[in-house]
Amino acid sequence: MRRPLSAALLLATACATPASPRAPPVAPPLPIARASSPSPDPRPEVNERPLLVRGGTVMTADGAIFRPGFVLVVEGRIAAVGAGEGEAPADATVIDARGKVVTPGLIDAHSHAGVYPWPSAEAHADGNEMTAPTTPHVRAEEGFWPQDAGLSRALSGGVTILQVLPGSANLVGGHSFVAHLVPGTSARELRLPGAPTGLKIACGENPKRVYGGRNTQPMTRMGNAASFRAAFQRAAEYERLRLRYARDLTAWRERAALREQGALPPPPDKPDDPPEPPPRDEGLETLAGVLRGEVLVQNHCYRADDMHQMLDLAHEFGFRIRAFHHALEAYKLRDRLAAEEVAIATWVDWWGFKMEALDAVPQNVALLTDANVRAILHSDSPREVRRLHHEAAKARAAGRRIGLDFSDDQLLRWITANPAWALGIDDQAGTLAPGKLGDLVLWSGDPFSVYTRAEQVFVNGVKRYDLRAPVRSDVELGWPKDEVTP
Amino acid sequence: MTPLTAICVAGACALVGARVEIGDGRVLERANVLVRDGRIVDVTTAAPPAGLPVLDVAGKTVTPGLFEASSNLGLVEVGAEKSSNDSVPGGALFTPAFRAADGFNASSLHVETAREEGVTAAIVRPDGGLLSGQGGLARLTGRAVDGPDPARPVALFGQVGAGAAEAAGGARGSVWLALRQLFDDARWYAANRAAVDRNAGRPLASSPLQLQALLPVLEGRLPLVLAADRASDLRAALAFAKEQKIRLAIEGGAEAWLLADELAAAKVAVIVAPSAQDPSSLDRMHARDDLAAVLHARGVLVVLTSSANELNLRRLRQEAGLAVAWGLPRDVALAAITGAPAKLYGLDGELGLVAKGRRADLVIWSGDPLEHATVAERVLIGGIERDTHTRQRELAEKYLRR
Repeated sequence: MRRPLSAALLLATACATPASPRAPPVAPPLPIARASSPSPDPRPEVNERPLLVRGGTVMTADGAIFRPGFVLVVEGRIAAVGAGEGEAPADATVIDARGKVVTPGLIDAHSHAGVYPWPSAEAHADGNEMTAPTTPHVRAEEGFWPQDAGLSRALSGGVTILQVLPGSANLVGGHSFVAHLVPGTSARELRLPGAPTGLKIACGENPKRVYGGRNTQPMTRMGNAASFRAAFQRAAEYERLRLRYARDLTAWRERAALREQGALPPPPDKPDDPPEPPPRDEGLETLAGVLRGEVLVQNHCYRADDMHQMLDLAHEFGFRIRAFHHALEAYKLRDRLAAEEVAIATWVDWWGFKMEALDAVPQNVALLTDANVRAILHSDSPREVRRLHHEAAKARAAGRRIGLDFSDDQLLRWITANPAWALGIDDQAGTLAPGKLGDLVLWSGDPFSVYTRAEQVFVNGVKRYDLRAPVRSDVELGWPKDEVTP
Repeated sequence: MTPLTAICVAGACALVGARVEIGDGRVLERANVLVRDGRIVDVTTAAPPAGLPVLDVAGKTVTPGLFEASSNLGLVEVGAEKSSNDSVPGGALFTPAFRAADGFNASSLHVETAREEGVTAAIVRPDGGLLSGQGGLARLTGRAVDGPDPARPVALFGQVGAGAAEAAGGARGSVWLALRQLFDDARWYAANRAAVDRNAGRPLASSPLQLQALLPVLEGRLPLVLAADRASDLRAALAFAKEQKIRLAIEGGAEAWLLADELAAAKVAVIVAPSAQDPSSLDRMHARDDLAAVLHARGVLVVLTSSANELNLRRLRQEAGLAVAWGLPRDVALAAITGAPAKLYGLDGELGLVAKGRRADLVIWSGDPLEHATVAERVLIGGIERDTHTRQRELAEKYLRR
């Protein structure tokens, strides 16, 4: 299996902190370009009858494990969780979970589902806009093919939410979006309402290889950094113009109001026209959104020195990096990552496939968790996404080899609560708590055993996967099976 | 974890009281494995003879060292770095004389990383073209002398299917045309060496050296392992093997269940990566997660591999566990990463079983070897406990202390 090109760039750019507006009540900012069309978010389908899952072990990823416990989902949201059997509302669908384990739906913080879909085909390579190293204006949502046969496979691994990212060929790859695994014929139907926009950026080898191969910048890590710095400098200037415009507009409105009240004389010579708005650029708007903290930076970055450099750059321009992805050397700067509150999304045992992956250790997640860094196990792969629970088990086993051990609740956090935070959706997903999404997995047993499979998966309280009768995508329907029966 | 004191240091010891998984599906409870001169001399429930150092392994599980059936181990260090990637002969569709052994690096970091997770043997094979070249057996001691013997290849490796078709000119028919031409030329060459030596031969699809290397395959002495997934490619491979009267094995085989009976009848083994049974390409639209289980149930010899992952042999036991989750009987799965690959390559007299006369390549596990939480506590190769520390652990421990 060849790894999908996923990438990270170094980010850099720069400059001064965004101009701080003195002007009092600033006009509302121009809307940031969002990975959605102006039409309202679709209303997801939710369970019509209350769903009560009871009798099994309930792992909340929130500190509590109930043996036995119950989870009640009403109209797509968790209504109650606790020990014992729970109260079944009159018309409830009751699932008997005896001998089984219930967890929140898993969350994959790093996916290229839909933009590098199955079956892979040249015609479907829609994840890397490799025409310029900085493409903050493109959106994974607009390259996403909802018939990807990998989506049903992700569900089969208990995953109900994916962050779909552009690839890592570019320094700035474009908008990511958070996909909720409900059926749909458009990406918009899958986009999780309320999830913030993410921006994929990439450090290191991939961008410099792609563009250096064309004899264009970046060809080196130096070029990576310089390109980042230039991009964020432009964004800072763009933001300054926007703020100046907002200030001028406010002042003009104030003058106009005063004139209306007769408190200010009319302008003597020429009319006092409203200020001209600055030109709008979607890419710069996105980067300015990063500077304002509205867009979450998702940074593909492997090496410790690259991560240090990116954090320095973020300080230089006054923005935050929400998560480093892949980050195989994160254990080397775990204290700084904890202090700066950057999440780390990584693998357990992928390593050595390129130089920046040479110092990977299977103890990365253990070492990070030990230092209070939010550690995440991600897939970056339509195969691995099916087995995040196995990866968590392997990460624990690796930690034990160096004397670090973790609870089942902690293992679950690596694949639920922590990625929810990295995606900015921890208010609505990642743990079993009242008010959160009704995404549940019913496992055949201990989710951290190699022999365990997801048997049923619920999204918004609606069963979307059943081991006995998995639903497949359109692309898989109707292929003749030769003359043989299984 | 505190390092254990090595007991088996001189190729002779008695492992006492373990649950022993033989590697062919059978299990012995509370058995003793006796090792002398680097080989297993007995597996018994009788008391061990005096004089052998005793390793008490009561409560542990002993298995044969795990056996990876297909890998680029020792040929690839850093995949993307050309200077350390020696897996692809390049330059020609057919390189049957290419020997993986010539590029094998016994000191590869991938060797110790695999060994830490109980892998003691691996087939090392080249990639690319239609017939990439000869693979050999490496035992994972980290010593060059235990690398593949260039004079003793275990199989010729190649691929058909979409990728090969592209290499051959664009069409699947081109693949089989080219292979038939090559095999025909090899037979002609074998019968007309003198004419070729006199420069009085006919134009040949490849050089005499390459054609010579095909003869063990033509004579049925060396199996041909072809990677392919689509049922039509597998049928074509079966037909080709029958027509050429050669021994065939399949690697990949995502759609092999569609012709399981034919594969079983032809005694063609399939090397399966359980984690990769998905419709990831148009060659694999009929992939199913329970492929290994279905093939086994229909009488096909199933061998499991970690090769769905870019050179990560330590995942071999996880692959076996996954096959069990999808219906392969537990003991068959263990055999599919020990005895079965040894059998496939004709090495089961030497390796892959905890049985008298076999090399003492053994792993002592803290529990079920297929479970994530289980640790390979001791790894013996040739009856000697090998280091299971790795560079990766050294790095982790360095930063743990900081």
